[in-house]
Amino acid sequence: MKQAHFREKIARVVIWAAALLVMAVLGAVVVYILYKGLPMLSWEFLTQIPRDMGRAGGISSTIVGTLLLTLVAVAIAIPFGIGTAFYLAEYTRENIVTRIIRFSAESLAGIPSIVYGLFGFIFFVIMLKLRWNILSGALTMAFMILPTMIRTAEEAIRAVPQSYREVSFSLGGTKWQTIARAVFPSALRGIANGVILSVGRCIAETAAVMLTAGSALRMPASLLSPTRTMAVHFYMLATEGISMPNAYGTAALLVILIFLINVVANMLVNRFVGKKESR
Amino acid sequence: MQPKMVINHLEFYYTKKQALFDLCLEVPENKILALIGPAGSGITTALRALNRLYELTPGARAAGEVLLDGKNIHDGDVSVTRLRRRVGMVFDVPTPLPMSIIDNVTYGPRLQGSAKKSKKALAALAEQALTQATLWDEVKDRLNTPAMSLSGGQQQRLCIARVLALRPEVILLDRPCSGLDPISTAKIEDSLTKLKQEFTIVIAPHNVQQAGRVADRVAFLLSGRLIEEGRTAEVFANPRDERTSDYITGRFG
Repeated sequence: MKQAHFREKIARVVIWAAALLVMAVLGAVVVYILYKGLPMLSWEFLTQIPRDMGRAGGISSTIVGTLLLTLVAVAIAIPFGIGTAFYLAEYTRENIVTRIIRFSAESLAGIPSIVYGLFGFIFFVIMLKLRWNILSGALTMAFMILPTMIRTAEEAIRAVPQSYREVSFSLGGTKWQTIARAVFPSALRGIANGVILSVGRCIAETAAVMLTAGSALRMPASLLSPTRTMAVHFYMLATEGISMPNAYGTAALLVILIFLINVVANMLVNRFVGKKESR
Repeated sequence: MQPKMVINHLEFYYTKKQALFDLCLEVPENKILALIGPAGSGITTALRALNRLYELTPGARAAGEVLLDGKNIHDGDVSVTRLRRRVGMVFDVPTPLPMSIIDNVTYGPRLQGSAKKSKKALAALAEQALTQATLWDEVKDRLNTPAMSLSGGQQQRLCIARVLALRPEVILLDRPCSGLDPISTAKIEDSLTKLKQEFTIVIAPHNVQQAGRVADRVAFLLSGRLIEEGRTAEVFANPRDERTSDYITGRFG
């Protein structure tokens, strides 16, 4: 009995220590970046395009490029990702096909992003002659985030209680009505989490984007313009020794942007789902 | 009077395991038929065979006839969605959908796209259904609150109302009072005896006593076979089969 009590205490200490350590490291990174980068943020920094390779001016074109690329990538991936997830979770039983799809998706999730970049470069940029632009980058990123999206959405759909489906069917619902009205609203929160995760990956990606969207500093005029995303810009500024202060400014804005997107997305989901559920 | 539903030589299988053996049973109109028997006797299976809900279970299949008003529900020209609107079902645990009370009640009617009903008609339908399920007075001021906020007994009456809103002909209840307190149980039993004037009811009661209180006829199933069927009072007073008498008197099950 005494020993059990002792172990309980040790477990508590270890678990708390692990959590605290993670929080501390995360906090340190964020605080350091904001400390270095926040002073750089100004109206000019946000609204002017980079001059002199990024030594001067702002980063407005990279912000626009990042947002456009992310938006297009996610917009392409959502229908395929969620569609595949519903196919796997609702429309088939476990068989060789579902196992192949799931195995492929899981393998794809583990491939380094530079490989996606190379694929995007060879396939979209060269073979399809799309050249370096936002569209090529977005298509490549769509491929890259698809596995995450499929897996999170499938898990969310599978987590919906079977009784919801039975009730809907027993009330004369068709398969589609059941999925659209009884399953989807309950899975929405989990699906949205996967989408938010994917948005974060698009915003943060460097290697794959550099190889497919280019690194132009001009303000993009359309989806067929090459662009440099914030993450790529940050990488160039830092590795080429162009301007560390501007690199930190970009990094700080990246952190803030991801934070804002998380907050806004969660608010939207809560507004949509919260009304229907009791919590 | 012609029975509402007739089960003819129904054999039922889950993959390889047989759950019902040559089941023949009549469901009389505007009566309450109770299917009793120990766990694993095939009662839930028999209920799910009446609205083809078993088809959701992988590997489940039925052979034999189930007639609704003389028409085999397994015929190719029978619409399964229409069948399930005619033969509604209440489950053993309350299963409100994660939406408001009113949306739960009108879920079924709203699915019928062609006969799009006005908001007013839906509201009237909901009031009627909730009243019949003896829940209206308790929820009429908070129809837009989440159904999950109701108590267990209220949730189950909501589920009954949800079925009633379909205006079905037959209502299947699979141990609708398991896990409910005696007062909620009494309320549900009370509404059932009123509902039989309008609907045909098949219930799997959660114990023998409940069958005695609500059912006009009882059918005793054991290991997937029908042992005995008859008027409740007769079966309870004078069971023909020894196993029936053992079960009713509580010697097993």
